[in-house]
Amino acid sequence: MLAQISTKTDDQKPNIAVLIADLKALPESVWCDYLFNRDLLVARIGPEKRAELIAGAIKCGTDLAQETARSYGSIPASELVDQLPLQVKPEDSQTIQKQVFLATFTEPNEIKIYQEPINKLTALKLPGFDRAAITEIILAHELFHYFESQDDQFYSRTSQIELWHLGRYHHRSTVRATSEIAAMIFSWRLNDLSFSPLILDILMLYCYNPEAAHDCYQELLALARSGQGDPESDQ
Amino acid sequence: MSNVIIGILLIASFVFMVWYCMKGYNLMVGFFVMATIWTILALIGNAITPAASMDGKSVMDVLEFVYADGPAAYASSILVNVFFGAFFGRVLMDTGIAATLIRKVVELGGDRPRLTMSLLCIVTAIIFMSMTGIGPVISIAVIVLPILFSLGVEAPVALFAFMGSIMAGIFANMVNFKQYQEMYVGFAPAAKSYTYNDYFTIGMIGMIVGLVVVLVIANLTMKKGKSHNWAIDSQPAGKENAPWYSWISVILPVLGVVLLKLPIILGFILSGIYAMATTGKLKGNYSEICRRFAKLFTDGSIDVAPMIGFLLSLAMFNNAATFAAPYFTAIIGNIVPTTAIALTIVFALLVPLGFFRGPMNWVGSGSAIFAVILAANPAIPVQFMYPLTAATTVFPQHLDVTQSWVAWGFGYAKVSSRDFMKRSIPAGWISGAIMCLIIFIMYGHLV
Ligand SMILES: [Zn+2]
Repeated sequence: MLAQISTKTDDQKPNIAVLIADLKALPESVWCDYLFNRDLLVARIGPEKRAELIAGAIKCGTDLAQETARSYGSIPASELVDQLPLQVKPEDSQTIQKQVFLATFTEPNEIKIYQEPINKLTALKLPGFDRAAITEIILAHELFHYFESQDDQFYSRTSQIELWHLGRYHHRSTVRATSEIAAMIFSWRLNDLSFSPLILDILMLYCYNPEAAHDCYQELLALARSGQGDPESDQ
Repeated sequence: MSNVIIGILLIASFVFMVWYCMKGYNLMVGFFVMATIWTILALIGNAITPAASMDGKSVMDVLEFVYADGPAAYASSILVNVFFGAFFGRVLMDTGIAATLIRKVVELGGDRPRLTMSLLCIVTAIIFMSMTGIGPVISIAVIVLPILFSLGVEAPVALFAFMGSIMAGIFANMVNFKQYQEMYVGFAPAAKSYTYNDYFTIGMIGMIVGLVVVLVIANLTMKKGKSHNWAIDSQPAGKENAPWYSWISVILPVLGVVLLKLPIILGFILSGIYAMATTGKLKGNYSEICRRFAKLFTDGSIDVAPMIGFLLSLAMFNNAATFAAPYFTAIIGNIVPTTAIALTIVFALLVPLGFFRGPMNWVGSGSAIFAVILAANPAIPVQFMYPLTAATTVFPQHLDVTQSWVAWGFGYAKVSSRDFMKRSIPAGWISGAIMCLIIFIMYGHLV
């Protein structure tokens, strides 16, 4: 599959079925890199620290998925949400230009799910991407943020990088990508998906701005080709 | 008696204008119509009882003064500043200096929404001490706002904090200073010698006060808990950086004017050249470089073109206000305060009338009221009076829905004007009132 991808040139615009097939074949490591490259602090994180944070985030998401299955049994995210003190609010949309908002979790317990992108995506009638399936993927991701907010010992909250120091003061910060990677992995495992939940990113973007979606797609293929991520972590 | 009737009609047209602005109709045409109504009313008044302001002037002289001299006088000194300010704004965008500064500030603050938001606001304010025009505002907004959103700051807070920082920066902005000072000089010629350098200290204080007020309100109205957005960014974080020694370009025009006493336009040109030289934009042959400059100037001019149209019709209105002033004096002349403390209190209380292009706003219908105030206080020192009018103009105006970029922001960030005004009106009023007090403390003794 990867060999087939690598022969594709930039100006060939694939139809959506090809795009989905290609995206489904991408390994976990590529999606982690994709998320990491979008972090505001990416320029301040060296390759070693980056690898450490990504590995830690993957473990964090995986562990939580296993623990959740143990405590609650294997139930879908939507049922889990019902058992927890969470409020799910459907909102219309907060999409601006090239930033498409899918959902927001706000402490202590509010999950907003934006309906407009979901409506647009379901209108495409893609197999496997009906409203229920999309909602489960999104809810699981937001559930991670809920669990994370409940426990300050989560890897995504304890792992920090130092940005600068002045005398004895060390200015440290968490890295948002760590939390997002862990949330992606959690949703991936909890929903037992054979592809990354982040495929939604590209598909939603496709609904608003096919050009931008195509750019992201090319970027992902390039990441896969460069093998920046470790191919062994492919599940 | 006829003066009072004309005065009442003028005030009625005034109220109409406020309604017109609140409705969001075109301001360029609106102010042209207002200039015409006021000129006609003043001509009628003069025909009944000759007014001193029209003494020895034929109808043609009056028309000339309003429709020709108004825009011409205005253009000679201000418009050029606006054009070069806009050019400089384009330079900062095209060289990537503004974007680099913003990224560096985010890397300084890290994943701490309140801290990083505050740092971004400070940088935005500094940038807008010398930048002008809706183009640069949009270019900066599309960098800053998505960063704030991805840090989990809600859209209404993010938009308010961003627009509020621009407002703060504009209090110390050279181009805006020239713009309002020129109008002031129209009613008080002695103020001609009052320069940006004289204004600089109070301008900086105003910027700091505005920033502090905006940040306090943004922080207080922000949700307590942390927020995570699942948002799709179509672009990875940028990595191209402008070198550190180019960053100073952002404040070079101000430094040039304040420290070296350079003319403002030369300050913009030299700073623009420095910014381009330090970011490798002066490479290539002569004609390539010329083309680059021409393009930056053209793009900048396009950014401010809609504003220019408005400013020219506003200049007509300002000159019409000269003729209308005696009729306002007939009605409110007796109640215009003449002591420093009374002026301070009245201005502080009336700051909200600077919103919606209201009567306390130089780029609104304020010139009529300011003309009356200046007529009633002919010897008032400009160091005291000008900053007061700046306080009631700059703070409300740059948080106002009639400000082109604020209106743009509502559409861009999907924020309702109600959500925005909940924060912007208190912010404008509080900043303005605090500044009135500071101006009184610093310059009140001159009166
Ligand atoms: Zn998330």
